[in-house]
Amino acid sequence: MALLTVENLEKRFGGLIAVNDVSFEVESGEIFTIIGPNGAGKSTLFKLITSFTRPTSGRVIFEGENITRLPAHVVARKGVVRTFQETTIFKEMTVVENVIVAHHLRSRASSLGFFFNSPLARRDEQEFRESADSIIEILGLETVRNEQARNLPHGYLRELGIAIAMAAEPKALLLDEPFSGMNPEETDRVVDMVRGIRDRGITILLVEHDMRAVMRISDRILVLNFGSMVALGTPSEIQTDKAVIEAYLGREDDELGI
Amino acid sequence: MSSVAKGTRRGVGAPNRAVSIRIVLGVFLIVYLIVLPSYFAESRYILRVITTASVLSFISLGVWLTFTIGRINIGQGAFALIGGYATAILSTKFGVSFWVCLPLSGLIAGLTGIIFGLGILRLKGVYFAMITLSLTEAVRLGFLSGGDFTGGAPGISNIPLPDELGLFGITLIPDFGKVDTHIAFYYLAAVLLILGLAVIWRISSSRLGWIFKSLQQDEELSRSVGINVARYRVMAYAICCFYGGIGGAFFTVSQQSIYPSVFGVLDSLFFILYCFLGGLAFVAGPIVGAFLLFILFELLHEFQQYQQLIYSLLMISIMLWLPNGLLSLRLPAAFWRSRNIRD
Repeated sequence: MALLTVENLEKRFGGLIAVNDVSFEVESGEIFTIIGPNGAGKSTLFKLITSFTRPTSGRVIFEGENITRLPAHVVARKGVVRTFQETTIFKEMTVVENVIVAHHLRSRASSLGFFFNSPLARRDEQEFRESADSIIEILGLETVRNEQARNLPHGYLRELGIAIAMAAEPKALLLDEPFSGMNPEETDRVVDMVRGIRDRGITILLVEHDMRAVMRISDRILVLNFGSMVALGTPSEIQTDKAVIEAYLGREDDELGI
Repeated sequence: MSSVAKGTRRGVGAPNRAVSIRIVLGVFLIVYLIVLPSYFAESRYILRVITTASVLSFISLGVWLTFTIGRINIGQGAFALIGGYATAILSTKFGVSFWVCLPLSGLIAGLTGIIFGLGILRLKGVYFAMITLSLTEAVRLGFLSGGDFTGGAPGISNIPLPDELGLFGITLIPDFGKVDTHIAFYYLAAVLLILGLAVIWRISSSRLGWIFKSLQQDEELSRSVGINVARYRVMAYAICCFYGGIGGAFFTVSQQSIYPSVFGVLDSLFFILYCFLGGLAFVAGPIVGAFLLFILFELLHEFQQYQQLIYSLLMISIMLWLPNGLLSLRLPAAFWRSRNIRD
């Protein structure tokens, strides 16, 4: 059984169809990428899967359970966690505080427990601190551990975004344009990082523009255009697909290195 | 060599600082609880000013908590009014003891806060500020047109003073009518403020405080890591309203009357100002703000018609030159830093 199933998902904003009858399945342990020109509905699709937006129709099924209309924080609790396109972090906290706060859904103590600093709350805090340190180590953020997040060099922001998501112990991690605005070396580093996360048993969904990285990293690719599915297949299938080349890659395929 | 020396100095400095904070806190408490009330025992006016400043601080602490979730709350006056009317109605119409009315007023205000909050906390920024401002006015009008139940424009008067509170025949709190009423209210206000500060301090330094801080910085991101954003922001708002209700109950019983314009939009704005001017980054911010500004305002009585003018100019100056509040001066911190500067 697939880990994540998207069935006939549709989202309309008034007369505009942002996502039109999209269906696919993501297998456990896969790196599944969604590509498409600007405005193709990629980010909307991400928001629909993580319940940040409600679909007009269709269903999202995760581990056999319909998660379509659950609140976003409940979906996160089930193990579907997203990162954000922009550098969305808790700016007025240090790196390690960012990651500790993000451990929230693992906490067992109640609000009153937090208030009275119950033994359970203390144990939670201890665990979160240790887990945050290990996440920071895995993602190579040790050098900036105690930096205020708003002062971080640009290259680290996206890693911090991923670290925050990792703290929520995702089963499926949805990364929104993790490589955008990066130079080739930085991209290589993040590609390795994403593979590392996958090797820890976390299924990855990506929205990305960087073709070179996408073709290298993805197991399968879904191509969207004007909200509709154009093609779905392995990187080599996508590269030779006529509809994709026409709709998306156009005549500039040489420039894009495909 | 020098780094080692610096390290040891800092190592010794840290516990020293904790001790000195404790000493400062102890001195504050002694002055607040013993020196001030005994020194001013005969001057009712000054005692009443400090009492009022204490309860205004208490109410502002709640507003400060809504700042920590990133909301500018200009609706605290409404909840002070709700708490005040709860106490007035319960004690005059149902004969309930003040010591039951007080927590009940807080709870009623808190529950009302939950009901309103579920809806209005979806709004952010200037929209939330505007709707809470309207809420203050709406609640005032509500009480104004409440008929016999709320007493209309003249409100409710002849509210009894707090009676004796005893347990198993032992008097815990004496009947306010049989002791020096001003001193009694002074201590009631002081106890409320100390407890109120302790609770808010504890909230803001526990995990709850971190969750609130995360909401302030990015609700979407908080939601993405599984934080129930709606629940926590309503929780913060309800606690804020609880503080408002308790404060309102206090003023009602100390004035022995209440009417709809006791707490208006201007009061709601003042609660915000106390927080701003004291410093939003500090738990003690609203207290410093309320005490300095309220006492300053009273001192400016001398200047008669220029009182408002001078007061406004002073407030503008603080906002201009101390945008992070009075506490950002932080004299003790500066003192410690200057001692640590090497040669």
